[in-house]
Amino acid sequence: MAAAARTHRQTAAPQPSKRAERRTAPSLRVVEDRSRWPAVVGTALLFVVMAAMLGAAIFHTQLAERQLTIDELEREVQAERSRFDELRRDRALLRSPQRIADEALLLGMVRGDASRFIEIDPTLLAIQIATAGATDDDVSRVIVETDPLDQFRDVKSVSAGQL
Amino acid sequence: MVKDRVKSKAAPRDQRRPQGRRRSSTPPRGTKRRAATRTQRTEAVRRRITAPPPELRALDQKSGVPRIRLIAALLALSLALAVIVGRVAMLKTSDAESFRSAGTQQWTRTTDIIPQRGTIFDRHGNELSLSVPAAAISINPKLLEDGAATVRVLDDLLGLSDEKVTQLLAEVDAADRGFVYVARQVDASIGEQIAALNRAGVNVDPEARRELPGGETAQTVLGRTNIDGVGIAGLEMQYNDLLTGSGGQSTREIGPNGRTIPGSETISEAPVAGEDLVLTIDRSIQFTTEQVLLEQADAIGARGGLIVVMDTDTGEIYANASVRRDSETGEAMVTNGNYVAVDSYEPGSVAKVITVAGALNEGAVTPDTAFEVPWREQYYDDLLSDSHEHPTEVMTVADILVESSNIGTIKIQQRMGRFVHHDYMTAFGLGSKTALDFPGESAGIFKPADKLFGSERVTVSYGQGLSSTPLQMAAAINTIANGGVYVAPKLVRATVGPDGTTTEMPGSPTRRVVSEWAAEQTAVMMQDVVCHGTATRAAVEGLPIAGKTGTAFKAADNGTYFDENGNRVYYASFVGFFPADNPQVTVLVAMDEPPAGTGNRFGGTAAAPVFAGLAPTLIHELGIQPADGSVGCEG
Repeated sequence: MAAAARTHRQTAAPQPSKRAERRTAPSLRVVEDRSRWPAVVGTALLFVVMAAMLGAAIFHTQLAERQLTIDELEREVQAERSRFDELRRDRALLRSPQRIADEALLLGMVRGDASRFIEIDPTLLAIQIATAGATDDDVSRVIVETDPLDQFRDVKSVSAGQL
Repeated sequence: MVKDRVKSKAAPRDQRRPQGRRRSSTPPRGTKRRAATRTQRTEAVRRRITAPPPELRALDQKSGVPRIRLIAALLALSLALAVIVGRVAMLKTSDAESFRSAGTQQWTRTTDIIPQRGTIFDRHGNELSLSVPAAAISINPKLLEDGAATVRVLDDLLGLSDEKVTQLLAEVDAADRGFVYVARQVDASIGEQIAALNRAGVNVDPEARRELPGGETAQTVLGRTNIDGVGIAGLEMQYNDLLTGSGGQSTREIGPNGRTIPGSETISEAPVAGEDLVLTIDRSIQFTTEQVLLEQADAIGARGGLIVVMDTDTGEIYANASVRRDSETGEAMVTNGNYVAVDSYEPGSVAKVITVAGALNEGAVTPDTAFEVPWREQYYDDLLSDSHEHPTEVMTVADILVESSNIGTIKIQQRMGRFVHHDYMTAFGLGSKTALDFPGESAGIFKPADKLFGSERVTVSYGQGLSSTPLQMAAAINTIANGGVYVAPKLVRATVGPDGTTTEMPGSPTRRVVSEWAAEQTAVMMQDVVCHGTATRAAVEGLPIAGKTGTAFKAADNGTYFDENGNRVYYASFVGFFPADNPQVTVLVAMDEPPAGTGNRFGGTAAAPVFAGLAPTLIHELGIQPADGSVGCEG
């Protein structure tokens, strides 16, 4: 049966000629195996770009955090500057001649209306030095006093000109 | 279309199949088929890989080639991407600024930062005028959520007046303005409290408040600023540009409801603080000077008083005080205006010092040169006289100065020549402003010699017929104290820059006016004035003092020398320096309008005691010691 069918098929479907065979066959060709390095490079590049973007994001976050810290510090500096000014004002008020005179009046003091120049007895001077170790001029040096203007200049010099 | 395609695909396949029997290249399941010959097998393979028949290929071409579709899609996507990228580029470049500013305006608010105004120090670094942090409170009625309640809260914190509260409530009701001040220059702590409320439509902006820690002390010379911190008088005005600095800007983000977003404030432009002034003023001396003036004005009932205290060598002004009685309350008060530099008066006999010094310098006279001096004499159309009647007597130049003879001084002037005398008056600084260039400073009135009329030609020799400011006259007499060298007054010693560096101001300009000998001889005569003449009340025990009194008629507001009651209006003054043998400080005291008809109207009675009262403070503060062997009048 199968042999009959094969015979029939051989008779029913004549063998195509070589030319016809060439005409109907697709023009196929064997291509060379493509290199994979562009893909590797592209992948690497993509990875680098992604890493750079991630780094940039982290960097920006760091910057933002640092900026917040700087802002906070600037606010603190500003507050301290304001406090410095207020303290200067308070000190100036305390040291103002008007306040001192008022306090002195309350204590019953009166302003001297005359000055007398007297010769100091050398013996008294010697006793003074022996007991106190210094005369009035020397004693004044013992008192620690910061010149308000020097203090102000020091602060101003480190505050970028804006107290 | 799809159906057509299916049909058209099916048709040729049917055509290829023999009728009545199905042909399949796939063997039935369970069977194994193999082509009989190699040729047949090759044919079978060939059939399987044979390209579709032309009809099918046509159909495929009609529906498009996948590669072309991909390219087309890629191009389309690329074009879209290019458009997007282009737009982004535009947004980031050419349109960036406008969009950025538009966006910024929506969610940020820019505030001007007022630079820190410079401080004014005295010569020892004590603050005379400084700015302290304050706050300006304002509301935006359009953004207030509960306006009336907000105003009540602000009233509780700020203690507003009833009028102000009413005005604010009206603004809140109207809600037609976007900015209304509630209060200015309130304490910074109160400003912080209000800011902490975080109420929509309530703004708290930092600003500065100018304060004088010493109260009235030195306000005469300091002047004042307006509420915006701009100098409008005195040194605050004169050095406003220097003190102001340059402003900055800060930006803060605001929410949709107008509230400031905490922590969003950034300084877009940093302000630069103004420079500071270090004055020559000594706060202690200034205070005492004002106090003695106030006391004397009250004691004698004068309208006011003026004092200038200056360093003899450098011209630096230690004190510059002005006191005037308030026209409404009648209380003597330290003035805002610096009448020491702004007002001019006829100096009176103080000017005789200039006449004598000039004549000595010209060699026209010596201290012992004698003149026959009547108590009065006719000059031009006027009968001029001394202050008191005396017989015609022979007076030396020293006597003339000590007894302050007007007629004698005229004779000295005539001896030297009135034009020469005029030149000396000019050289001593009369008729021109000092180097201070204080705002509103007067040059006084001193006519050119050829413009003097009638007896003015001679009365100028004893200080009538011209006017000068107390500052000018103090500087003129200081020339004698300084060995004949004029030194211009100076009020600012140094400036402190934004970086804290100090810049010393240049020294005062100087010029020699008379010889050292002439100045010395004049000073000796002035010592006699204090010890034996009209200024004995200026004497200080143990300290040689040189000085000269002046009692001048003052032009009243009505243009005459008499007030509305017909009384003379006086200007009593005293100028002195000490120690006379080594002068360190020169002081001018002037009492404005001492009471006429009393013994307190003279320079020797009204002004000289003030000098003596001030001397102890000067001696103490300046550390003045008399030279060895030097004594005061008691010697």
